[in-house]
Amino acid sequence: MIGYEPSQFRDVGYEAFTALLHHDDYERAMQAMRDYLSGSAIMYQVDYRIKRRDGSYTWYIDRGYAVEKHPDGSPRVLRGLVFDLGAEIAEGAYDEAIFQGLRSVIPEAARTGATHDRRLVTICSVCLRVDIPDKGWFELSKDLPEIIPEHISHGICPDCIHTMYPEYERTKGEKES
Amino acid sequence: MKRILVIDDEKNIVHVVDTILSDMGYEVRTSTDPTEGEQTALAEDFDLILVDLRMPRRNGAEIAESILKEKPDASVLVITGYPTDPLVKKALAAGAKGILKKPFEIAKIVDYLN
Repeated sequence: MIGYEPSQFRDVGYEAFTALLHHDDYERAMQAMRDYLSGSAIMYQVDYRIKRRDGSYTWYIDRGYAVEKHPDGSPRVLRGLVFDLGAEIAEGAYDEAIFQGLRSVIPEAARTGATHDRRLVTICSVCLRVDIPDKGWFELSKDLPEIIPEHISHGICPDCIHTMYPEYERTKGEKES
Repeated sequence: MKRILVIDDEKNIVHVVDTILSDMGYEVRTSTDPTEGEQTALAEDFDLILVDLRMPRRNGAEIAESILKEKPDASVLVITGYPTDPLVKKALAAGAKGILKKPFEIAKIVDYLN
């Protein structure tokens, strides 16, 4: 997203990433992580500027949480999403960044250019697949609802209607015949 | 005949609830537009009003508050995929009778009606 090769961050400490944080945002970002690791925040969530390879800065929304924990409850594996806000945070950019990010992580949507005309993304409340309008239901990260809860609307996909509400199809069939 | 209003922006959910409950003999009104659903709830009387929490433009807690302010005796249930959503607390504080976690069984709605 910001011009570096993934290999630059392999087998090195987190400091390789945090060294790219803008000086003015560094302490805030680190404090957000400390708050999460200590249990005083339910999610790691912070916005900060990060240095691109060309030397310019862009704003990131960064959200994550522990998907695996040690027996003592401390986080073992963190997972999250990062959204690129660009150089300036304009009014409304936050939501737009979320959706740009979603489009980039939903391969089918990115490929077809499908767009969400609403401010919420529908996921199936049973199987957690994501509804891409006019395209169907696609597997995505099952962590998505935990990471961006305020942008999620819970629906139900046709497959799960079939499983969960057999009487719906029976009634519908009777009406149609 | 008992009357039910379902306000949810998720069309599939609305169709399922409408089809099954209508077949069971209930009179069901639905709205996938939160503002329109709220107006219907204020204009007519229902035995049960189901309101989704997370909808575009207007959330279910605001709608529950608005309905219960005008009609304190209305039976409002909030439906949500997240029982821990802070909006649940807000809706319950406004007087909503309870929450229905998605995915829900239709029998639970019938329990509330009875």
